[in-house]
Amino acid sequence: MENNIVEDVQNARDEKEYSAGSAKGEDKDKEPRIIAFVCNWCTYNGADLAGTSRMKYAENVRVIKLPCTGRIDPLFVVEAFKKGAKGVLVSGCHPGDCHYTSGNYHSRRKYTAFRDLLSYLGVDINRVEFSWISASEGNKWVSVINEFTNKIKLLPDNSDIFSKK
Amino acid sequence: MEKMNDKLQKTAKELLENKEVNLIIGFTKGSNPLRMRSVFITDPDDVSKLSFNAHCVQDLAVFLKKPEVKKFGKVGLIVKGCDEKAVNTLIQEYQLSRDNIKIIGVECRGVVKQNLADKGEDSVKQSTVYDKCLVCEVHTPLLYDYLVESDEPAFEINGDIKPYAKIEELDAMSVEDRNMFWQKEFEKCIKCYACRQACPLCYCTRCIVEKNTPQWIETNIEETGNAQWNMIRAYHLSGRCIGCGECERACPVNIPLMLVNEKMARDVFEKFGYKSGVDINAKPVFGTFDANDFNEFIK
Amino acid sequence: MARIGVFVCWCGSNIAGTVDVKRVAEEAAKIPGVVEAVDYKYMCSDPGQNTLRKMIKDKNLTGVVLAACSPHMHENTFRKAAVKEGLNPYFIEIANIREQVSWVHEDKEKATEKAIDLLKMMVEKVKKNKPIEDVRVPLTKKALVIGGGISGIQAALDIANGGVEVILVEKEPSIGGKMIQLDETFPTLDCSSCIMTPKMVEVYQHPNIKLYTYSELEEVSGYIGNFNVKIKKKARSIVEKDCTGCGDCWNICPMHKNVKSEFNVNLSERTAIYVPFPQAVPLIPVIDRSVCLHYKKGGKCQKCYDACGPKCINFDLQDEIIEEKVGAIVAATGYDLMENSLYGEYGYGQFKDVISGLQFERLLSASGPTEGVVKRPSDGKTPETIVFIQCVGSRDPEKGVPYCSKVCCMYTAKHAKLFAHKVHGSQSYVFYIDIRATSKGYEEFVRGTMENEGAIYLRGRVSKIYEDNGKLIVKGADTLSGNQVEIAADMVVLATGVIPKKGSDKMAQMLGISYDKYGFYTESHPKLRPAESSTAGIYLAGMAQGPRDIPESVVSGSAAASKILGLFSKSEYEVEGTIASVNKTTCVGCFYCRRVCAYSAISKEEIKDRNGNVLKVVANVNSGLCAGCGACVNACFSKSIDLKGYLDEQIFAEIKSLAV
Repeated sequence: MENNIVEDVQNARDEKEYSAGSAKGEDKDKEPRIIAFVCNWCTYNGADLAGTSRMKYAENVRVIKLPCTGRIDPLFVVEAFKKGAKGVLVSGCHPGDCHYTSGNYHSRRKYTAFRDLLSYLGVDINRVEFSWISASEGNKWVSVINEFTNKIKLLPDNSDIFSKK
Repeated sequence: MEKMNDKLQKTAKELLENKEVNLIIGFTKGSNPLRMRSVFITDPDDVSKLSFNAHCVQDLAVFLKKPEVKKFGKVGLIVKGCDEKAVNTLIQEYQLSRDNIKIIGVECRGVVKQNLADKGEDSVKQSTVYDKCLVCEVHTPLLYDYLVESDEPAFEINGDIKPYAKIEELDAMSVEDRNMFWQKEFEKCIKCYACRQACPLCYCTRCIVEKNTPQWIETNIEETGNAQWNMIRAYHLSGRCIGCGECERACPVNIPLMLVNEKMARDVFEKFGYKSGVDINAKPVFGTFDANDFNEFIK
Repeated sequence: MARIGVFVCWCGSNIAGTVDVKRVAEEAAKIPGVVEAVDYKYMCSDPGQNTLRKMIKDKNLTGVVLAACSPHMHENTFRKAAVKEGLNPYFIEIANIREQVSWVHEDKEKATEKAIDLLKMMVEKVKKNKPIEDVRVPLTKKALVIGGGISGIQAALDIANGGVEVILVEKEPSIGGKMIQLDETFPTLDCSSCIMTPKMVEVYQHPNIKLYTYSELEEVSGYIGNFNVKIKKKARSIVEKDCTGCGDCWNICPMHKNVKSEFNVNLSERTAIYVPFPQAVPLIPVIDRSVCLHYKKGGKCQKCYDACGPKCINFDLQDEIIEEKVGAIVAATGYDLMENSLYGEYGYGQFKDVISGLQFERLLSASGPTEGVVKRPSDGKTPETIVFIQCVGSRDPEKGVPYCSKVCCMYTAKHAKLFAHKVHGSQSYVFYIDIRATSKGYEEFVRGTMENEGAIYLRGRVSKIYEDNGKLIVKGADTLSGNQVEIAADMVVLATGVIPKKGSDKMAQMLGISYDKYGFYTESHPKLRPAESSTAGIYLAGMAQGPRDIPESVVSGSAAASKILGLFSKSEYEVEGTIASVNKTTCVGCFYCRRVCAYSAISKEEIKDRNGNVLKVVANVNSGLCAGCGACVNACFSKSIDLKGYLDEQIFAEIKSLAV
């Protein structure tokens, strides 16, 4: 797939204009954005179950699906903050239920240290939520999202070191 | 000290002469008498350069990651107890083979803070040594092939000592205040990565900060990227940092990095009962798990 | 540059009722790289799929994003359609705007906004994707079964009858396991050796089964389809092919005292050259070198050699290492019984007539030390009163194990019943906690023991046993009546708990499979994948997984066999390409990835220069073993591992697309 240089330049220009355009339209008092990193086997299915059961919850959440909580690098959380997310949820299978036997255990260890580090460096740890939600817990997904969204809405404006100024 | 130096030199000479090692890394007198610098000895006749005293601050284990040192194969390292933990961690993390190193451990009574030494301070006491020396549990290295005992008395500790006292202060602060504190500190960062270069455990040949697909850390000098670098450095050393303090000593803008490292070390010990660099056969704390690990923060 | 097609599905009114699908498509069309965005009523229908295929072809698409229902519904449908047009299936991504938007939100404006966001995320994700090829692994169509008990035998026979070669490795000199030691089996009381021996012989004679007895697994490497195993065939001191099993050697052996028979659980003695039991398969003796006089007295004794007609005894034989290549493995290593001596109050080892359940089996058995006549070990008298104690070690978190050993309730009922049959006018007492008799015919069986054979069941525990005037005085509690009871018994039989075979943890480590805190092997999924271990290509059977009875062991052996026959029915083993891969240039070999991998999929690879000098050691992902979880990616400090289909760059692109 060879591109000619004219096309490359045009593509680059398109990208730039597009991102400038979408950023411009943002309103200051817009709803806070929440990113949820979830595992494919438990929480994603739990969220789907909330859907098939027609439960209702806050619209703020955007789900990013990964195979396992073991894949959800804590540094993704920092990246999400940098890109303007006000809250980040990490969710996967309950202990003992991991599709890959131990991904959630490894992840739990990492997040234990990571959360302490974040908090120590002055990040409000209320902005990061961690939960175990199984494929049958559509109702838990709904309550975790709603409670977390409400909590995030009540937080003061971001001023910590990873927030976009 | 003379007795120590004699034994150091004798041990080093024997190792080199018997070809048990091809290189000895140790300390020698610097141009300033209160500064010691590293020295690399391959010729048995040069061992007279080796010396040890309370100004041997540097963690010489840092050289073990260098390709220039690795090519020597078997290496002898003169090392204090605190720094020796770095050797153990390197062995744990497959960066070093136990067969390739002869550890010449020195019993250390504490090292004098370099900024004080530069002003002429030469005595080892509670007020002149580094914080790590006040809480030192490894005056005698945990692992060694040869031990050079100290002929100096231990310094006295009086009253209630609080090494790294700022950690508790920070813990007691509001999150906004902590943020202010670190924001101010990280503002100073010039991303020179001296902290990384000085660290014996930052051995990646391609650091995460140099990876740009994706760009994990913003490399331009602005607040977010600075904070991110310092945060990720600390995160990568959580459960691994052995507390030698070299990063902080190397920092040209004096960011108190040990406050982060020590905090994380305490945290890992509190949550997982793990101390780094203690046992070459232990599983690193973030390379394993326990089904009953800390779960309180999870909904 | 990417050429991406976007399809927004209405799902009738399921999506279109809450999401402004037209607007979603319009917004999608503005995203750089999107060549066309359309909406359609039902994308999963045949016409819908044809629209998709047509656009892939006409617009020469490099990627497709569907805003539709959950990927768990139709991702495969769309991937299959895309493959037909020559598009890499992993370049299809789905934005879930039904389960996670239209069905859970009511505000149309907000729902539409969210749908657009989810779509943007997926477009950016596809843009950063790299082609993924499914992994094909060649298969060595030969299976290894470890353990020659009933479950291993069943697995071996089923696989062999399916036309596949099997290697069966058994540690003991004969196959048969624990089952061949039993007398009669509950609940039908058919004789264990009568139903077991034909199966053992069938194994021995099967053209597809290669049997290694008195052999142990030494080393396992490789992965599904391609395991290399080393088997240590211990020196029997017999040239097997010449031996006729006539028995002249063991009949003349002078060492016939003081060596306890393992088969009869120490209730009889055996010789130094011996077959464990008369129906042993193979019927070839073995010399126990630890007791044989030839070895102990510098070669003086060679009576067996002199007696042997075919001269097949060779004292100088050495252990042999045999290498085999197999495609699949069954771990059926069985179980042990707990040490009875843990319970000092029961006097096991102190009083000769306190015996274990397995010993009682031998006393009942016609092939046992007493030829089936129940005699007590101390004086050979036939006991008239026996006390059976259940849950010795089981369900006792303090001293034993917390779990239920499952078979003890049933075999105790059987013991009481057989005792009543053999010794008329005798009396059994059974101390129990609960009676667990849940399979077909089991409850009736226990009832029969109580009601027809007159066994007295006492719910409670025994506190003490002591000897008094030739009797064993058993003191215990009957918690139902609230009385303390004291029984003068002639014999006491302990129903000892089941534990994993000694060394099963080492075996698990060798195989790279996971095991629980007791040492039982864990299933890949406790409900849905009960025959599979955590490692691809290694299957589980029998008590090695946990306590179970004979029918369940047979079923599990067959289950493992059917999994292997299924695996071997294809020419190659195919795995999804969404697996980890290492950047070997930047990998520094700290092997945190290897530590966190639950599948032993990461190995060490030496990078060498032209002269063969090792430059460095790096991680290598074995594509046959990798399950694609990504834990290794998270563990890597230098970000030298990535997960195909979920690349770091793709996740970053998704996050970036949401930047506010």
